[in-house]
Amino acid sequence: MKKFYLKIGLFLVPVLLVWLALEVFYRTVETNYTFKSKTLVENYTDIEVLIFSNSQAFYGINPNRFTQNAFSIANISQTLYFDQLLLEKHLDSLPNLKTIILTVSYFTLSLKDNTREDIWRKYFYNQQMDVEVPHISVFDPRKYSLSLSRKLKNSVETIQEYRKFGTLVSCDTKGFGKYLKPGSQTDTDVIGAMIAKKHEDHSLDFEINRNRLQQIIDRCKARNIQVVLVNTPVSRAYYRNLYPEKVEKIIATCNALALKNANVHFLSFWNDTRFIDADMRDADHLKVEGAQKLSTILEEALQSF
Amino acid sequence: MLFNTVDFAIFFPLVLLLYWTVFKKNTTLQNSFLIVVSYLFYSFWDWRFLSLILMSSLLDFIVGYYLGKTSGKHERKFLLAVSLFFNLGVLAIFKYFNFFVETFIDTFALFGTKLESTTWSIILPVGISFYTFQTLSYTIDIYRGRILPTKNIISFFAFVSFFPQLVAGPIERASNLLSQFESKRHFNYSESVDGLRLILSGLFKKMVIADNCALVVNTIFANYQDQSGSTLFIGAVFFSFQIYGDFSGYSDIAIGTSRLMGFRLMKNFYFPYLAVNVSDFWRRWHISLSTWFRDYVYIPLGGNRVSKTKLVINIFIVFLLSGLWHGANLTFVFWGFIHALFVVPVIWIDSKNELQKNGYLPSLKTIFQIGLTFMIVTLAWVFFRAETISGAFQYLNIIFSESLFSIPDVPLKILFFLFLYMVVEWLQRNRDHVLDIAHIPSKMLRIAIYYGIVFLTFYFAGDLQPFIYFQF
Repeated sequence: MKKFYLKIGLFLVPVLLVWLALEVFYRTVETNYTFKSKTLVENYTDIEVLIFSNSQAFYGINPNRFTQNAFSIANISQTLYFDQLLLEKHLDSLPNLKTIILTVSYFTLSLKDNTREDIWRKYFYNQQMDVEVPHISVFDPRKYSLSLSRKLKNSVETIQEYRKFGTLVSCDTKGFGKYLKPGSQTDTDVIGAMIAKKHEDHSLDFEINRNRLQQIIDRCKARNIQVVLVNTPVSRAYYRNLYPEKVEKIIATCNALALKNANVHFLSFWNDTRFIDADMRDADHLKVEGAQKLSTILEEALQSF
Repeated sequence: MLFNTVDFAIFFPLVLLLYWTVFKKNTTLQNSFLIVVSYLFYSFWDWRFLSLILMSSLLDFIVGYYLGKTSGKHERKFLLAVSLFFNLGVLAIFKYFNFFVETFIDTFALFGTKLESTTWSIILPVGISFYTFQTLSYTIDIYRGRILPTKNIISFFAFVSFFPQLVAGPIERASNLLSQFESKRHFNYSESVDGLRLILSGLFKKMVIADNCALVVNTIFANYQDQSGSTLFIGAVFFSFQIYGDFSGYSDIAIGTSRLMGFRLMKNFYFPYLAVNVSDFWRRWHISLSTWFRDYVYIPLGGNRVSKTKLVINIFIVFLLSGLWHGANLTFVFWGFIHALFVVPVIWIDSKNELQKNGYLPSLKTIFQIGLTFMIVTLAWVFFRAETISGAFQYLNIIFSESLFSIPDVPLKILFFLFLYMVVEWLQRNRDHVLDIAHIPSKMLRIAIYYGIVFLTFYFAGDLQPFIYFQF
């Protein structure tokens, strides 16, 4: 028995060392999560515009283009669930906040909680942004070990990325996303159809996220904060491949929220002729120049509200 | 709690440590500890359904006890009927109520009578089909005089709720497992090492093979109308490997963890995709279920010692019931029907075909036999995976169209990887399991293989997917 335990222990030593090394890596290297959280806290009193949501906002809305002091807390694959948790956490510490911007992507309203995109990210919000995530049980070991929350392959890729770029922070001091890797060379029609298909969840059930959005709006209303809902521009091919009934329902839902709540404004750029495919980096993300164009339009809109 | 999670990686070593240290001296104490941790293990899914396991265990223990005391034919029949009625009744309510109501209404609708539909929203308790069959085998075997009832309620409760095999089998028999709970267990080094090998191979099958195939399969089956025949065909092949990796991986881990605690569970899979005909496939796939149906349905119906017509009917009964056991959907019944169709000729002609035992390379005949059986099984899996029978036929219609000869839109490197895995299974076909490498003399080579598999498992693990058989 002792021999068995000893041999198992010895066999596991390299495995445990790898785990420990990964844990140290995740605990010491700065990421978008730690950087954004830290910068936001440092600038609590200055921030007037706060940009939330996923990569479409992260890469598509440039806070530097706003005359008011803006900061982007948007992140890749950030869902409305985390937008709400972040808002709840920081709202009372932001005395000068006047506007929040939320992008409404094709999947935002129908997205279910705690699914594929959140499998590992929720632990990073918890550990690196200090957000209490109700989905994480106190008995979940990954709550205490970030390296356990990711697959080894992804961790290795992250380390390679760190070695290549010298950092895991892929945004500027205002939280605006920087593309570290070159864009896809795939034909825009092909990639548009492919990404539209990937984003299709065949659900028209918006209830949970609509309610969540209303809660965010209500919280902002109480503080006299404007809420701007934005459909960021997408490529023609992507838009063509979306399910029209769902597109209509998303727009109707956002319009209804804007109509019902005086502090809500809705801007849809999905079918806006001011944007062309040359503004797009891929199916649903703007290039830096495209982001500047969108941010300038948003800045003008903010002035008029 | 899933076997392939960090939770289990913490839970099991703790259990094992306490089991072999604190509770080692007394078998009753050890069994009591196993009951507690088994119930805890089950509670991670839904603690409310523990009451069903408790009731089933208690009732069958009492029925068994009185069956042992009573010799009267009528009393014994009555006691068995109580056990059958309760266990199958619970199964019928939780698993089949809505299915039977809907089928009943649909049947009447065919004749123009419209009935009001009332179905309930019922949650299926995890593992109900598995532990129900396990406890049933206990009372039936006592009734038949094959085993004696146990007087030890702790052993019996531990036998019913034993956590490694509680939620997805192997479906054990009291004659094999209950006796192990009643005797003192001793730590066996080589058995434990082999248990670890089984756990490792099980994790590899589940996390690498099944979970990676699942990603492709889910996409293909969700949009099968938009795919080419070749893509759908490869999708079906991937599903064959997904379900194999998923279920046999689970069984391997269950058997391996049991072995570490000094128990020997029955083999549940034995290289099923090397089967040379569909009958052979059923000697290798979900063995604990197929032998259950053989012992408690097929043989009581007369087995092979009946007329050819009756034999065919019996085979169809067994396979249709086996299909229904898997789920309350006609797709499963139809899946069973297809298997029966291909098993009948093998049994009818009393084929003695067996897998080639010697040689590194398979003969052309063996390749043909394995290939043909795999094709039949794979196409039958389409019914198992599809949501409706018409959906499955549409899927097959697209496969057998011109587009079957187009280039499939799937990651072909996975296919190559699966082929390599099958080569390893072929080389290991005469061993106990795919990672049975105890015969390799070089210790360093064995350790290198273990580390290699640990690395492959962690590095190429797909996204965590629930075990398919939990839904049954």
